[in-house]
Amino acid sequence: MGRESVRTLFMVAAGVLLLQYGIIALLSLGAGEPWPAVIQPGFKNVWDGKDTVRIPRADLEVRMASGRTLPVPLDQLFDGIPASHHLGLLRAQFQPASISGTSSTERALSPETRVWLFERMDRLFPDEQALLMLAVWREMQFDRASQESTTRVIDTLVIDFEEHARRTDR
Amino acid sequence: MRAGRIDNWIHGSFRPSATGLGAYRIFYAAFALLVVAPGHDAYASLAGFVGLPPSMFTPPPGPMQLFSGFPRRFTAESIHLLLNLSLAALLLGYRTRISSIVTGVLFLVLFGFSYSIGKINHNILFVLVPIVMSASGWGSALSLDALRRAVVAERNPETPEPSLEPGAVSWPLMLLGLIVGFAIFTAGFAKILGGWLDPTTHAAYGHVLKNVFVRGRGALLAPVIVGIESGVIWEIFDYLTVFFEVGFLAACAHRRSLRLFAGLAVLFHFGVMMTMNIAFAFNLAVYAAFVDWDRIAGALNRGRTTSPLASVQILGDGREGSPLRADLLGFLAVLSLGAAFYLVGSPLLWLDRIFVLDSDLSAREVLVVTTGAVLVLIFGLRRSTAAVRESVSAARAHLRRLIAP
Repeated sequence: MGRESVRTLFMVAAGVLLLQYGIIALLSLGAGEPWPAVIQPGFKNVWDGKDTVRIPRADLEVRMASGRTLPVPLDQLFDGIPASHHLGLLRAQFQPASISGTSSTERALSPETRVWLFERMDRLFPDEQALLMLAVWREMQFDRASQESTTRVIDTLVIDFEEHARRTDR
Repeated sequence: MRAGRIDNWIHGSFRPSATGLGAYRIFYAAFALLVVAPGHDAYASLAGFVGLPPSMFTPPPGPMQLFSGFPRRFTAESIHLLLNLSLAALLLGYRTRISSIVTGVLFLVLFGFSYSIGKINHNILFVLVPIVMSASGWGSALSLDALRRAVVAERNPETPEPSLEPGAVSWPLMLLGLIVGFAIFTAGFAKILGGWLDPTTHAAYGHVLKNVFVRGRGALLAPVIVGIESGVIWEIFDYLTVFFEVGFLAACAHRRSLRLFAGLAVLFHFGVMMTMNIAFAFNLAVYAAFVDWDRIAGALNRGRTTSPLASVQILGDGREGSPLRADLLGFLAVLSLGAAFYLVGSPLLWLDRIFVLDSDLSAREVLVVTTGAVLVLIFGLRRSTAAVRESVSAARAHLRRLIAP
């Protein structure tokens, strides 16, 4: 490749890098970050320095026909999926619209996903029958002064299995 | 004039030899097979995604939207097998240009599926390395391609076969540097927009707290660092992080600054791993591109008594069909090595089973990042000591000249 061609390639590459960054910025406002994209994670969020740190977290629980409510271990539910993906997965698919602002994060309510979740609960808890799955979104408040943490529930996404359970004559 | 300076920057910043490039190629492929372990490590495997329903397939904007769901088991295993084969080909330098591009594309597809669940890991630089470096001639030495070329040349010295690979070409390395610098710059720029430079906020500390208390990343130094409450210290961390990341793009202006920033990046990732249990091991294979591989290859070659061409005797002795035999043996070697890694995986995976950490860090990642940091410190210390010695000698010589009668 001649020197002029290589120079042109570098200029085109620089232009493409800038253009794709602009596109990423626009897409990130609504559609989300694209792949592939030549960026590195920003970790943009900052803490305001006040004594209380507020951090959102989500847990999955399953309510059984026996009346028990059990925690669902994410590493077993999503066996083979890296642990660092779990929170992103919950945000994208198990988050109530009241928190995310869009119903597109309630994908777990789709019939296909419900069937899959029900079958997974059957495998994880063979001696129980799952009626509901609860994606409980909490805000953890950590007080720096007292070094204590408290949690409060913000909202819960309820995934109902009863219809599926009736259809499978259980 | 300006074009001349740009050309000097592009072609003259790095002047790697074919051997140096070959050494890096081997390092990258070995890293991918041993550390990334496609098909075996959860971060590089589609096994966990195979049974998921299409309703859970949430591809990020981009080419993954061409697919309607996660791959079936056969497709997933085919991707794993092909990736191990292409990495074996890359390691051995067999049809290097093609195997480089195939490796990059397969990684793009594999990670694309993996990131269609709602979370993207930012290892794009690692994926781009083989694609960019395919134009560098990194298969023209320390490779089966080079061996095959030698066989053909030995057979027909008057009519040499057109090279399967160009000789060493330096501009892809500078292009990679530009891409890396830009990518890391975007991280710093996002931080500036997010308020990291605001003295009333403590960004790094907030992320440490989130990692420890929400994500359960409480291993290594994380519990210790949480106890540091000095706002000044955390603000210094915030500023240093931003200036380092933003400065990476400017560091691309010169080979030495790029190497310095690459070394600092390794130490930065080590610090992040120890305090936030986030490893970014993938990036180490990228920063390694800017190491002086000529020196390393030279050091490894020291004391060598046999010529590499001695191995040509195995593949070609002037009889008919020798290049074909060379090709066939090469193909069989790639097939055997690739199949072995596909079936058995990396021997380093055993480390993860023996040393289980109290976070989602793996023992492999800790080993790799720690080793990288130690090597950077050793070489950095050596270079600094040498530089100090040189300065002292120069100062002494100057002083002698001044006081000489």
